[in-house]
Amino acid sequence: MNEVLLEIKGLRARAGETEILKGLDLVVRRGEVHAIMGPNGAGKSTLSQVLAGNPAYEITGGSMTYKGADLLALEPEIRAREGVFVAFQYPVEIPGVANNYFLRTALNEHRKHKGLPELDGGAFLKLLREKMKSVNIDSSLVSRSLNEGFSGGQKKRNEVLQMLVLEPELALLDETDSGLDIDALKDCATGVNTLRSPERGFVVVTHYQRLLDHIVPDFVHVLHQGRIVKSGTKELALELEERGYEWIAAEAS
Amino acid sequence: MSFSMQPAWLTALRKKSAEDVARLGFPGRKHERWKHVSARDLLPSTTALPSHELASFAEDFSAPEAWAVLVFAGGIFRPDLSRLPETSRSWNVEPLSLALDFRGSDIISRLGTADPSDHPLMALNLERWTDGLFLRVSEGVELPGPVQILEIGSGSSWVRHLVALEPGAQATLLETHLSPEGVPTSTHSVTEARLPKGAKLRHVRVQRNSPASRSWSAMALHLGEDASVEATHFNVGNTVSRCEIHADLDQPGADLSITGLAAATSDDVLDALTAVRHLAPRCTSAQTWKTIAQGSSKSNFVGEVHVAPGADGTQARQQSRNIVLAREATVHARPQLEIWADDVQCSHGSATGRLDEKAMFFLRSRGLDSRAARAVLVKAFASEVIDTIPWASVRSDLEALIEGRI
Repeated sequence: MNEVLLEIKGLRARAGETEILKGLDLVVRRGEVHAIMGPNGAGKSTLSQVLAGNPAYEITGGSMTYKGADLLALEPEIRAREGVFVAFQYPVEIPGVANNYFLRTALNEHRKHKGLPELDGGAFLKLLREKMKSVNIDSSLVSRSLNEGFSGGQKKRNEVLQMLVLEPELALLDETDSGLDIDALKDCATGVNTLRSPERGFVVVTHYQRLLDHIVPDFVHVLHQGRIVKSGTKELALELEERGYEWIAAEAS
Repeated sequence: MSFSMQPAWLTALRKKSAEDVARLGFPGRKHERWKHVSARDLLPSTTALPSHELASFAEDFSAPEAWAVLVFAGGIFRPDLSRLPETSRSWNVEPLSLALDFRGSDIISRLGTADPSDHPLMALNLERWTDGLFLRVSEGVELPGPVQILEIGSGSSWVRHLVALEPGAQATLLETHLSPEGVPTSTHSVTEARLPKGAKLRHVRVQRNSPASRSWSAMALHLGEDASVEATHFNVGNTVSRCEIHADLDQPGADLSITGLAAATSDDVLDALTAVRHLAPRCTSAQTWKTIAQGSSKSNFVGEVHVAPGADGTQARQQSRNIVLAREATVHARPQLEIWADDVQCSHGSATGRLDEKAMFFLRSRGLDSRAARAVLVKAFASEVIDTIPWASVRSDLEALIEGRI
């Protein structure tokens, strides 16, 4: 079996007064794609935010180990530079920050961290153009303010573009498929599939099975009330599509 | 101060202004308009003039994009450092001191006429000014390129620029105010302009004086029918400074836009006052004032908008947006709207706060540390104003200045 990339044990987290994750366990090995499914309010987005290190969430118990180190002890930017990437469900709009300028700054932070020389404007642009093609992102978006006035599909493509440029070891995609038409969905899936490799691990958080036709997972988990209550292979996703989540809730309680 | 060669009318005008100063006095902090920086804080510095380094200053800060550059050091015109355009019947671009000799009548009818009547520092400036730009553009003519004024602080300087556009004339003016590092200077600069029908003025002022300086600068504007002024003001350098824009929209269809960006650090006190009066129907004014506050600085913005009875169809927008980056830094934003007409669209808004936490977290989640993320967001905040400047050399100077101040 491949090396463990991420190990989450008994993770508890809350936002404000509400405890959302209530003892979550998950192991992701290099080369694996895990899908996490579950109804609204199960804690899917909280898991994404906690993995990225959002200070708005408080960890109240459990552990997260990434490449053998305590992930919870790391600042968000160190997690990112160490290869953790979260594609957010609601990408922020930042007026005045040009998409390409931001992405080059981010990439160079990663490169510095790895002891690599920074990329100059020309070399970066070449790299960016290449990556843009694979997600069909309109070249005019690249010099515009980050996500400002982007459509839903453009925002999600832009998240995937960032992932392609930063080449993470562990990527979590938080409902990247929500609100996407089929073309955008395929483009995002292509982005993930081009990055799939025996070294990388993926967690795909989604409501719907249809994304999993394009990004075929090795494992499917059901998140319910802050815990993984059922795990299986890709066939589980099909069963969920057919039967809904209620039978799992009943089974879990 | 002696003004030996000046015409009698000017002696009389200076004398009258001195009387105005005596009558008005210098308001202290109790006066609402002078609450944070009092007029007394801005009185002349007595430090001796440092005359060295002027040439390299002039060279470094003359914008290559400028069509003409006039350098004033300590309020004195420096022909050796300036670049005047060829003479033409369509325009005059020259120091006031020279224009007095040849175009006295053009000046006598205009000088000081745009000033608000009740302003002590304006009156003091009108009494004491030593030189400045005289810019005249003939009817319907657009100046071939931007005129830059380089005001180099040296001791105490009193400068007055007179902009005389004829109907339909268009001009772009860039004022760069700077002073030597570590040398205390005080500058008192007024730019006055009456714009007749259809005249257009684009005005950019960059105050990048050294931290030892105190500065006061004001614009006195009157806009005629369908005249327009687009003014952009950067305040990125002084320890104590105040900038003022007084604008009367006198005739229908006048259009005024004011944008300001202030970056305050350490114990700077940066003060801004805009006083816009809508005196005729169907005029528009739009103001945006932004501040980046750090250290234990104090920044203030007072925006007065007055809509006179009968000024129907007025559209007046004003907003101030401020980022406070340090606990001890303060920003006061005070919109003051006085509306005496019925059919108007007026709005004002003010937002002061820290950097957006969601944006900060997002940038960090992509690998930027807090410091870099902050710099990116502050740069973005500033670039909304900086990017409106059409000259690359000025933009990059401002970007570097602001980056250096964070």
